[in-house]
Amino acid sequence: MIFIIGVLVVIITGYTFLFLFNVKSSSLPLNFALAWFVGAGYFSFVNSIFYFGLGINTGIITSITIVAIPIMIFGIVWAKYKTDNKYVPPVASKKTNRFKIYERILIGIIILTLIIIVCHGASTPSNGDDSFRIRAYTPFLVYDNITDENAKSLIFQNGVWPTFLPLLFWHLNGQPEQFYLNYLNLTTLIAFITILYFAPLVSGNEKQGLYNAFAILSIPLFIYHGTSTYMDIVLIMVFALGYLFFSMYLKSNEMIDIKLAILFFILTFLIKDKGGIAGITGIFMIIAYWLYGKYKRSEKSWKTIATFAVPLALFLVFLVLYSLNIDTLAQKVNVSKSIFLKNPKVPSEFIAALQYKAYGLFHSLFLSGNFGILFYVFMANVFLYARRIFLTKLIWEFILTSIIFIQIFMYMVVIYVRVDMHQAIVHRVVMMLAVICSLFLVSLWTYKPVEDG
Amino acid sequence: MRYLFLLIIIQWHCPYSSFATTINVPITKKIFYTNTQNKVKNRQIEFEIDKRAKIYVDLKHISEINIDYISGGFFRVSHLTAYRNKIKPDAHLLMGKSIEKGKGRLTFNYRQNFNWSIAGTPVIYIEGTGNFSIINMSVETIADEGQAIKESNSALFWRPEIIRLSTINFLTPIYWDYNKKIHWTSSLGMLYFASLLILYLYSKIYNVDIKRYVPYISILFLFIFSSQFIIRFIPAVNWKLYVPSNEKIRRYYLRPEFGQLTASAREITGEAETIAIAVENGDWFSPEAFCFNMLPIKCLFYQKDKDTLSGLGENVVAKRSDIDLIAYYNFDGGIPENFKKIFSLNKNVFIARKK
Repeated sequence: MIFIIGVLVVIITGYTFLFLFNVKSSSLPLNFALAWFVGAGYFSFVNSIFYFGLGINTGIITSITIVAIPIMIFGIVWAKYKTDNKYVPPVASKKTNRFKIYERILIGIIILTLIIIVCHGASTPSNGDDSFRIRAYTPFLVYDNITDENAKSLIFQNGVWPTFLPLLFWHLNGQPEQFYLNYLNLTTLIAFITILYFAPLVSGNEKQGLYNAFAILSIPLFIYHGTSTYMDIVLIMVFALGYLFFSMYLKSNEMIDIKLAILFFILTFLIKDKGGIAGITGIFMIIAYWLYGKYKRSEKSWKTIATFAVPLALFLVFLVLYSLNIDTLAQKVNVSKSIFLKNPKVPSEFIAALQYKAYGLFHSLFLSGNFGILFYVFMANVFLYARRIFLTKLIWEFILTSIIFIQIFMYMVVIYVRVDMHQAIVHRVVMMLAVICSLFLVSLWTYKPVEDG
Repeated sequence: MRYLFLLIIIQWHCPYSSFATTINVPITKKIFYTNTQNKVKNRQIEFEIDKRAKIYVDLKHISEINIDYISGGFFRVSHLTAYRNKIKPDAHLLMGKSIEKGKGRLTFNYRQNFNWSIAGTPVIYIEGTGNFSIINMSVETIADEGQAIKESNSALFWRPEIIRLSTINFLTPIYWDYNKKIHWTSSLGMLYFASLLILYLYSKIYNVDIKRYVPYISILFLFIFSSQFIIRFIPAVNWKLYVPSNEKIRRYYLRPEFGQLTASAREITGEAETIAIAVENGDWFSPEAFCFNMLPIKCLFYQKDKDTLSGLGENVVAKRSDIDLIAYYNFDGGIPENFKKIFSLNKNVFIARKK
């Protein structure tokens, strides 16, 4: 019950921002799901500033203050809004045709999968050691106001969202409750699937929503991760939503879509140490698209090309430096057991290790079964729809997907030191690619060429 | 086309198409050889399990064993196949079931072991401490090696997903034909490519737009893979949506003894007390999981020779003298003199408090 109250508080807080910045949609479930992400991101970010920036200890007063301020502002603005405007209830989305048989089957399997994830995830204690040591442990450190170097290092690895969000629920509960960590991931998953389904539906693309939800929930490793307290899945979900809204913006040119894409890419920064690089990649794509549009419209001068090329160059330099120096970066915050050790120095050993790791990536994508046959489907569809991809705005989604693939290749094959193919944290990393490839596929299938300018 | 494909799957990997013969086996001491104490009484055999035991069933051509048992403890029971009494248990792929105290029935499908053949010796691997009695046993046997391979392929294809510590990194690999090492993903992927090729040829001959059908075919193939996974995953799912936190820990940890110990420690330990966990050498998982479950209570990893002990995340450090309780989980050393047992699940799993 306390947990549900906490969820409502987060949703109300998030809804405040949606209202104030006018990014609401006409669908109530979609607004609630968006509000969950916004509220959760806001609470964790502000709490981390209180904690690290202002040195204010976490506690029930801090938590309540953080959520109360926007809710109070919302109350005032809403009262004024109500008197100034006649309230217009949200327009219900257009009634769609009855579902066809195959669509009913897909809905059936989506519901069954969600029931499995929720039941298993809510009832099963975490069995992953990484989860104890970092993911689920750091909120306890902050709850106890421990700020030593080791704690800072763990928070850096975990990110502020996974670290600070549970505090609100624990403070409402009066004491820490470890299973709230399970429930938080499950709530995020339900909000994620809701957005995947309703966001395209509201834009009039009925099939895209259904296919999105099905394609993501057909990834076997994603299903298992949904039941865990690992934060990889939260990072993936937030980034994937940025990707989805960017994709929708390319088709609709609606400002609300681009606002939401930017919002979700920014939220990505708050999760895990790798969230930063994912978020920057997404934001870079938005900037690149905007500059390209400017160039295409009129200003075809060298100056414009340079404006386009400079951020690209800076982005690539950043990627290289980040990739090469993540070990140093991690050591700076005292990551005692850094996995980013140097690769073997002898060239032949280096190449052999590289080949072996490249095979590991191939195995992960095409043989392991962790992602089903998604990458076979992806390859075939890119080949079949090559014309559609390269001659329409889908190219931007494809470029973003390709950059993520290159980053994963760099991380797994070139930088990552471990060469044991099957043990591989790699599968977790590749899951990000699997999820956005699913979204790309659905975007490809449901693309309406008439909208392309 | 799609129905034909489903028919092929059902025909090829039908889990009920076994040619095995079922035989009731009288319980005698000769059938079993093991590294643990045992005695036969009233046509039952009772094993005294001390932490873990391998029970070899000295029968050949066995594909499945069904046992009725009486358990005196909380055990994790797995089945393995040995050759010349040597076992190479791949911990990542071990099939395991948790059992509680009392009577029950277990089925061990040896065909689900990756190294199974009719020449192998079936082994029952039990982890836990206490008495375990087998009161009835029946086996399924297969004479023909070709049939055994076929049944093994089928059993491995439908092998239930077992949650392991490493499941977070990778799921159980599934093969369309394990004997020929053909992965399920690659065979289904190739079939997907073939269907697209057929569709392409069809579109060329009859001048239809292929792209109209590609999404449907793609979704169909994703659906086939996903459904097979869901069928394999369902046996591992804990279906109860609401269970009190301590009950979740007690019932749903991979090793039931560990769950029992941890849940009891949570009930016994006071908020201001310090607890330590003592485990056997090489057990890295239990101390971390235990101390995580004890949070926010101060919890340390017990070590015999060290005076200063640390806990989870290296943030918790304390002196040995600060410890109020010690939880023992298969630890090899004894209890310090100034401690006495206050809770005991069995001789290897208990909690002691400072006198």
